[in-house]
Order: sequence, then C-alpha cells, then structure tokens
Amino acid sequence: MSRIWNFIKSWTVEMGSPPLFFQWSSKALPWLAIISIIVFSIGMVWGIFYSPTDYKQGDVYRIIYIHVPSAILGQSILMFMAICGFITVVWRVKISGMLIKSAASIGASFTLIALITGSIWGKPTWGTWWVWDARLTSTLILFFIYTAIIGLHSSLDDKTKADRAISILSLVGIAIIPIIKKSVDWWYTLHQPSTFTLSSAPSMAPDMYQPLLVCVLGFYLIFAFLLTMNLRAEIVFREKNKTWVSKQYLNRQKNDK
Amino acid sequence: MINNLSAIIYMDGNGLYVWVCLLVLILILGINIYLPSRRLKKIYKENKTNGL
Repeated sequence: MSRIWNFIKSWTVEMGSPPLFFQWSSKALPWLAIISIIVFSIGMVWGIFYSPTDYKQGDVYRIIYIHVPSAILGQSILMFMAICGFITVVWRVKISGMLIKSAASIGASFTLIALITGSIWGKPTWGTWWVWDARLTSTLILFFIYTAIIGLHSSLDDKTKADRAISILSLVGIAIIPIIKKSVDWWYTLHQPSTFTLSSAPSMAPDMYQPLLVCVLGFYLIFAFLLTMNLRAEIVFREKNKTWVSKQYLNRQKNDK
Repeated sequence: MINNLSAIIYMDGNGLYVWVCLLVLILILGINIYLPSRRLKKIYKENKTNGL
C-alpha cells in the first residue's frame, strides 16, 4: 500500500514540473485521443441509434446523451478548477495555475453545449426555447463565471498574478455548484429532477441509462484529452524562452520538417 | 432501436432537434481541438521568424 502511495506521490510531483509533464504528455496524448474517441463514439451510437424510444417524449429525449454529460462536465470542471485554485493559492504550484487557465475554456464550452442543447430540448417538450427557471438561470451564471475567469486571466499581463486571481475566482465561483444541484429541489422549476443522484437508484430504464453512463465516461475522457492539449499549448507559450522548450518542442518541430 | 435510415433521420419529427444538438457538440469540440493546435503553430512560426 505504501509503495502505491509513494508511486502516486512521486508521479504527482513529477507531473507538477512543466518539462516532465510535456515529455509524458507527448507519449500519452495519441493514446488518450484514441481511447476518448472510441468511448465517446460507442456512447453516442448506442444512445442515439440503439436505445429505446421514450414512451412520453419520443425520440427527442435522445438529446439527453449530449445534454446531461455536458452539464455534468460543466460543473465538474469548475470543481476541478477550484481544487487547482486551492493548490495554487496554498502551495503556489506553477502548473496548477496553468491547469485552471487551460480548463476554463473547456468548462465554458461544455456549459455552452448544455445550455444550447437544453434550449433545443425545451422547444418540443416545454414549448419554449428558454424560461428563467432556477436550473437554467444558475447554469447561465456558471457560464458567466467561466467567461469571467477567462477574461480576468487575459486582462492581466503578469501570469503569476493572473493565476492567483483566477484561483480565487474559481474558489469563490464554486458556490454556484450546490445552487445548480439543489435548484430543482429548492424552487419550483420546469426542469426535471437530476438524472444522476448518489442517494437513489436511477429512475430510467437500464437500456437508456447504460449508454448514458458510457457517454459520461466518454465526455470525461474528451475533457482529459482537450485539457492535455490546452495545457501543452499553455506550457509552450509561457516557457517558450526556456532551453527545454527549444530542445523538446521547437527544435523537434524543425527536425520533423 | 431505430430500424431504417429515414426513421433515423426523421425520428418521428424530432430528428432536426437531435441532429442540431449533435452538430453543436461536434462544432464546439472541433473548435476546442483547433485552437490549441493553432496556438502551438503560431509559437513555432514566431520562433522560426526570430531565427531561434
């Protein structure tokens, strides 16, 4: 057990170093891309083509396989950013600041997908594209938090200060997560109750629920892939004047040509 | 399970909603893949121009 713990500890410390992360991610990225595309495609094909039609909503419910994983990711990414924010503020680990910056645009994208697909789903089921419902409004606030984080970071030239500022904003912004989660219980909303809960069994049929789980896993893998890509670009951008970047990336690119 | 191609596309009149959602997803994910690649290319080009 202690060997596993020591391995995790040394791996985490190694990944905290931009050159080592860059080296490791060069090897891991193609595999991550392949695995994420496979799992994502299985989930999508299973959900859209092979899951049964809902007796009440018909085929429009298939939007769930895009909307629910996007909404889960939109919230999870902010929690991830808050953890990185805590690490940045307390231990000042350089890469965790870069992680927040890299994750913010992905989080904003998934939240935007959740808002757009939810709106499209709302039209045939509720008869309207948008209502100022508690769940919808709190998710829109989540999107604004992401845009504020992106805007704040790009407005500051000193990247160390920018990292600390967005760390604090992520830690403050996380307050929206329980509000989104509980919005369907605290207020009367048009939005249906949460699809995923830890305390009770799913209300959906297993034929519908299983592809949704695969989709969620696929979306998490896509997030890991996108985050690695973004982080690599951020590392090269910030450390472009350092020798290791010239050796590991820029000169290798020249040799490839 | 949806059996034939026209049923897949039409989905009892709901096909448009489902396919637009899928399109939005692919479009936004595509942008997220393109942007970091473009950023890396730009840094490489700058580096080349500076003759480093």
